[in-house]
Amino acid sequence: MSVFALPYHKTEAMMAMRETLSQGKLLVSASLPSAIKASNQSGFTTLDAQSLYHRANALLTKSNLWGIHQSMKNLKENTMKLKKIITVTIIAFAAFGIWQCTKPVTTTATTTKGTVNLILQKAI
Amino acid sequence: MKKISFLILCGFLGIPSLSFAGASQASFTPTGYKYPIMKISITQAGGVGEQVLYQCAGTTSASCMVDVANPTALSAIGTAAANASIEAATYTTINLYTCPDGTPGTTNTSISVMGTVPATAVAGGPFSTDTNAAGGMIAGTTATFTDITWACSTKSITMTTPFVVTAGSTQNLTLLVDLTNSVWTDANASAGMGGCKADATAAQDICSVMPLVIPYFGSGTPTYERYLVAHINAGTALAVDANAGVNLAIDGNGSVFYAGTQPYFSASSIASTDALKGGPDYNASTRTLSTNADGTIAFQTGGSADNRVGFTAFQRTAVGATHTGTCKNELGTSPTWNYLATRQ
Repeated sequence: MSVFALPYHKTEAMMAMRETLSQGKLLVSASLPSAIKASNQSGFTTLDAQSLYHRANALLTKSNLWGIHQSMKNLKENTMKLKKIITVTIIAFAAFGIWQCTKPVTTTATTTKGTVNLILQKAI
Repeated sequence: MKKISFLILCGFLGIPSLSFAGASQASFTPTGYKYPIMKISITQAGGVGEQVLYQCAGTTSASCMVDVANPTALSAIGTAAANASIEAATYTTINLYTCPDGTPGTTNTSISVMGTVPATAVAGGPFSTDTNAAGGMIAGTTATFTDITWACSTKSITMTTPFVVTAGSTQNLTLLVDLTNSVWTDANASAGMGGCKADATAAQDICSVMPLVIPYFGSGTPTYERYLVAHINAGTALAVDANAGVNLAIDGNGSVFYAGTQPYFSASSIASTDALKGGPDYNASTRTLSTNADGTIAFQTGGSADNRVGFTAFQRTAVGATHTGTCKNELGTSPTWNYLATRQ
């Protein structure tokens, strides 16, 4: 097990923390004593362990906040996409309606009448 | 009055009744016949589905008088009725309205006729119609129109061959107006007699019937055969007793397409009420008509099983020739009449 220097870059930090947590190498969210113990076993000083612990938790907090921010951002983007889809659909329906109303009327009904010419003549 | 006295005298003396129309009677063909044509329509069987072919622009019978003896006046009706849009259906009846729709039969209208009956037809003649004569006729040959009161009515003419209108079709329907013997003079007519104009004297009066109106939608120019018919209840009828007319209309193929009947009056004609020679009733239009295998014509008049005349084998003959046969009405108890028909 090794304790790595947590990068300050949010994405990298989050990826590193996720990897570390998934491997059980460093439980950043664990208690400080357990973190120091784990660090000492890896050859780190207590001071380093304390520093890493606090920095990792700070980074994790920031990452969590960033994740919320990202989710909000994603929500906003999805909302925008949905709005676009709805807008396009409405426009399509409107165009269809306009086309139906303005296209030339085709008479398909069959007439039920005939024409009769009445003629009156004297019978001679 | 004279005729009635004669009949009473015969009955009192036990002499068999034989009622003559009288020397003062004579049918003739008018040269003018004004008839109120308010509307002409066609209807389907049962009188349903009425379709208007012609509607007079006027609102009263008086404003819709048409001289049906005048070809120009008849042609004007055709012009006004051109290109009528008619519902596709099978039509069986033509209706001629003399008065506006809904007018009761108790309301009077009038026709107006003009013509002259020759001296050879009636004693003391010639006589002509006259506008101012109380009885409608005066001596002489100068004829003017005289009005005759009629009750408002609708003349319904059955088309023995149905008239079929199909969607999108265009066709002609011709009404042939036959005025032959449609009026007659009679010195003994009464003003109470339907279709008559009469005075209280022995002067000549005038009576009328509806002209024969013959529907035609066949091909070719129609022609006509006219017969006078005499009757007797046994033996052979005499031509001089003729008191009815049968008019056949023939299409361009030589086939009879209509048969019209009417009463006929002459100095020697027999009254239709005469038990020995009167014969059936000839005052209705034809309801059914067919041609038998031997070329004779079967036709029945009247609107239902009543006392109107019917023939099972009316023969067609040359002009001047006669034929005999039997006829009767549709009443089960009515006599079968022997008849003799003479082609005019």
